[in-house]
Amino acid sequence: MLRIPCPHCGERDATEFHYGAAAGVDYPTDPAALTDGEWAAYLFVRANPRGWFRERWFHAAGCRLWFHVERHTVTDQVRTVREGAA
Amino acid sequence: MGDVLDLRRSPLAGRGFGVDSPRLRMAEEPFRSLVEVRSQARPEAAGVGATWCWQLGPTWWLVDGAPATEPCLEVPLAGVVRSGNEGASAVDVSAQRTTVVLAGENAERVLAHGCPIDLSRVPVGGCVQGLLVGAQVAIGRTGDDAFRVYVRPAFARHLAAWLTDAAVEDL
Amino acid sequence: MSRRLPTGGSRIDRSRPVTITVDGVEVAAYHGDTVASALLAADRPLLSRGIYSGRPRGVMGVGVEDACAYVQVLSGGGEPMVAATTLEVHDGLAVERIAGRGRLPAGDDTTRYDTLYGHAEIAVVGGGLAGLRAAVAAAEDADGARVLILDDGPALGGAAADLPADSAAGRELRDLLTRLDGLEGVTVLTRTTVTGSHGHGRLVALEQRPHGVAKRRLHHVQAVGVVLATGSHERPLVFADNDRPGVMLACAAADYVTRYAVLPGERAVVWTAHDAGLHAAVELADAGTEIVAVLDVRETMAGPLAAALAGRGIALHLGAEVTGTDGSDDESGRLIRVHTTVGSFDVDLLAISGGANPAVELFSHPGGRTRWSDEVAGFVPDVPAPGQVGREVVVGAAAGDQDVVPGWRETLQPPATVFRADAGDPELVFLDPHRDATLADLRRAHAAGLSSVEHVKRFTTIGTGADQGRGFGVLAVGVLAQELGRPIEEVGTTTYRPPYVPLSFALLAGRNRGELSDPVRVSQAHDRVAHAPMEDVGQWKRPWYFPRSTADGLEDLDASVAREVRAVRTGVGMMDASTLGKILLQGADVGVLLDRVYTNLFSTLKVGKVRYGVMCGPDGMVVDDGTTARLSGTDWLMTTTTGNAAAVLDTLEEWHQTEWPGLDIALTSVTDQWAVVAVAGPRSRDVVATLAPQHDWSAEAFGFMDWREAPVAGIPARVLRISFSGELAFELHVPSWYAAALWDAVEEAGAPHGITPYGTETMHVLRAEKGFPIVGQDTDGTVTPHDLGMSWAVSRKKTDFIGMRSLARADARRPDRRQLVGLVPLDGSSRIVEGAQLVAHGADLTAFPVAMAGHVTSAYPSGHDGRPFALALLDGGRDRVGEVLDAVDDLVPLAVRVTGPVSYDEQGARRDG
Repeated sequence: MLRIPCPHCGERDATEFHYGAAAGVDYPTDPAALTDGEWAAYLFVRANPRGWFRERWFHAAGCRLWFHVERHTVTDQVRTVREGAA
Repeated sequence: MGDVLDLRRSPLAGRGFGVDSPRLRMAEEPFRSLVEVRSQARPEAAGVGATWCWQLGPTWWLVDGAPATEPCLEVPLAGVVRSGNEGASAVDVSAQRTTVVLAGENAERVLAHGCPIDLSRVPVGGCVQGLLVGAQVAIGRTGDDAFRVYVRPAFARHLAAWLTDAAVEDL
Repeated sequence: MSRRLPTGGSRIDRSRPVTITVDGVEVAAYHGDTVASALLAADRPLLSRGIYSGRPRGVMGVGVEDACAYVQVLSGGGEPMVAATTLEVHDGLAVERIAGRGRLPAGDDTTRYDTLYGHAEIAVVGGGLAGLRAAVAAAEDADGARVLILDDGPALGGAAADLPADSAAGRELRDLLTRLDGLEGVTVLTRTTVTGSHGHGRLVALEQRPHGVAKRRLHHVQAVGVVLATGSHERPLVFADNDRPGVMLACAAADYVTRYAVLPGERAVVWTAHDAGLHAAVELADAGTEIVAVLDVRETMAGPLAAALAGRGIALHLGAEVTGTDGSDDESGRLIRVHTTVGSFDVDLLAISGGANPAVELFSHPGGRTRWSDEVAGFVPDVPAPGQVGREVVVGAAAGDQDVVPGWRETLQPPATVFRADAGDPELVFLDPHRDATLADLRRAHAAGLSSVEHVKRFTTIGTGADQGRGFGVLAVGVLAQELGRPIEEVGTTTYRPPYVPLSFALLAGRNRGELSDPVRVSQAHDRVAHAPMEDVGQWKRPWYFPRSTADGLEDLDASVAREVRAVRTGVGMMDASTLGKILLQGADVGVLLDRVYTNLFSTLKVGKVRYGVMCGPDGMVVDDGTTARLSGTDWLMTTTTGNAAAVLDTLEEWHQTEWPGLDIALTSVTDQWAVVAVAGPRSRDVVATLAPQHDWSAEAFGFMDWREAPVAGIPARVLRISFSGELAFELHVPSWYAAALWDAVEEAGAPHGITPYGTETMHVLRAEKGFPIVGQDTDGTVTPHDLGMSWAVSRKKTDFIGMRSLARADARRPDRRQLVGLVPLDGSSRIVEGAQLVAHGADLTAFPVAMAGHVTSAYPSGHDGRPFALALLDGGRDRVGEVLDAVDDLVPLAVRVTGPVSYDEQGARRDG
């Protein structure tokens, strides 16, 4: 059972959370200025590394916080947790 | 206007829900004044008739007070909390959640039949949100062996039936 | 003849006799017996038959390593295929012997199953000496740490509990149990088998509770650290006819003596490859079995065990082997003779022991890797699963430690590794008795070109029986290695997966069965509408339609809906709309957020007004729609579709928290706070005026998309003029605990107007006639607002909203995109089928591929005019009104004419009544 450390509630079962994929993909400041290709890359293209990965989680059934987690995609170990997901 | 108050029906009214045994008490406390508050600091609530103030998130609180005594679109507690806490937003959720109280030496165990959260690490006055029997709930500890469970009315019948069945060996 | 010894038996209580029934015959037993020990005591060794061969099989083991002795439980709720070696007896227990496979009991399983979540800092799996040492150390070290010990036996102690109390092991056990008693925070679960190690410290365990109301309990244990002290499983040896009743594992045979005071044989040959088999020979001899020969595959043997045998006058044959057995001709098929390299012996017990397999299953579950150890003559834990590093340790026999029992190491003789692939007639050498799979099967797999152990497992079914290879698995791997001519470490084991012992689906479900199988959400007006047939909308139960009794019986769906539609179009109807998602948005910046998440403009909405909005994802596709009312300068109430409430709130939270945290906004779900009754139809104003006579409800005073506070029948309420039917309509919102009272009041006030309750089906017909799409039914994640004909709801003034950039792509403006249209049958009466494919009229349906032009998304047998109609998504549909197409369902075409999506009151003349 994958366990996710929520910065507010502590470690909980992953079933309480929603996965938010890669962190650090910001909504473009001026979408109209992007080419179709750049816009499609923002929408659909994400890294999928084997190893440490910074990703977003949402504690949907708990405190309803979005936060960042650094998780190893092979071992599921969690290295860092950061409150806030801006 | 007392007649109008009598028109209310709590989610578990008439469902035969309730246990009063030596090691477990379970009951619905209907019509509590419940207010969700967004505030950086713990809202000042004790002075305004609230009984409990639970922290649901870093800036998210649930204030639990006595039932309103007049029919209203918003319980007076919401306005009181709002005016007593500069910059806080307050929402009346009195009918959004109903309150199930559990007490007795087996109260924690009954919840453990359906709740994966480690309640033994929740101090008196502490509150956790999570899934209990598939329903989203907030669980506040009011004593060493006493809890208040806040559940949406739509899920209340399911939760009550499940807990009643689960408690068979914990009475 | 009883084989019960007059004294002894660490697990039985002779003061508590128990009677069980086997195949209808009563068998006497004692409390603490297993079905296997009771039958051995009664000298009834035949327990089951081979699944294909029909060969008689008896008890080989004493626990979960047994691969033969399964029974069908008939008493209680019944249970198929239960291991006789772990099934404890109780009065009234009735079982029957089975031929390989069990059968599901007929009827409902009425057994109660329980679930319990538990938490510990340290979970110790296995309560033998190694586990108890770890548990005591953990509990004494860590102040306040919760230590949980899980053991599958009826009491703690493991193998040490079967050793003499005055032995070193017995003394240490007593000391550990005493210390454990005095420690805070220690919890012991006996009769509890850990069935899965799921990583991150999560264990799942099955507790047998013979005296509980719930007979079985599934524990979900979350631990910080896990100690695996799971011990080892005794391994058999191979030879021809190795499956007869009377062939037993040697240590298991000795355990029947010490645990149950059952003598498993009068005369025995013992064959072993390691010291434990010699120990067992001594114990059996001391209990009264005549040991006619001990065979050890090892060539040399010195030390106290050899001396112990010699002292008892028992012949020890070194370098010797068993070559075959004979069985009796009667039904029992029991062992009568053993053939060996040193002669043949008439015996009723052949006790074999090929070694000890460390029980590495739980270590392997999350991904731990094993290696072969010659020293241990078994697979031992090697590399733990990456996620278990720092969380998990393996101790004792499970780790290959051969010194768990104090004093044994000093005299230990190295075990031999024996996996003979030349052991007689291969059709009679069984490598998985439960599957009836033999050495011949394994050779056939090899001859077919299979060399991977995983492939051979699937070809031969070896290791797929109820014991999952605990008995014969490693032995079969060794034999395969011999066949392949490769070292066993290269062949490796098959993958161990949970569950370690069989779990029933009913146990996994626990009490989440029947009514409780999934949380059911009901409106607070449910009791008022519960007589109606219900439709599941997400977890909600919603009234589908309200059939009336007529002279011809209860109305069917079509008749009821036709009547309900007529009522709303010509009079007045009421429906429970409480399940609509509702979100309260508060803060100075709500208008900014709404402008970004809705395609149209919201910040200009005035207090007292309501506006309809469409939400898109960033890809420009419609994700939800609904209305939002401005309650005050800072407070806005948004409604969502019933099924999408949680998703919309989550999406709003995501945008707010992750992209625009600076906005002053607070979001609160108030779906359950408000009960909603919709009153719709030309007479609805009369009903509302009766309920709230103190207000002016005329169109001038209270227009379309207005809302106001107004007590309804004295109940505090908000009234909104929103219509999902095109008719004059009102939504009455009250705190949900007034739901039933509101329903009653509306019914009463509407009675003079013939108010008619209606359900979701009528609601769908009413909205479909108006061309209002339902997100998720008429849309599928590829549909833009433009495709729905809702360009009017897409702002061209805003600089951005979610989805705007995607809608600016050329593809989003293609004229041939699939667009929402209406359909009517050409014959005016045939019913269109939802989901039907749209193709060219007269298209040859046998000339594949048939070009698809679209599909039917909603279809109804009759609208206000009594005729069938439908909504559809059609390529370039808006320009094809009037065209005739075929709607094909199950290869049957129906000619349909394309219409606009609005089939009723296109001018919108009816919304003011």
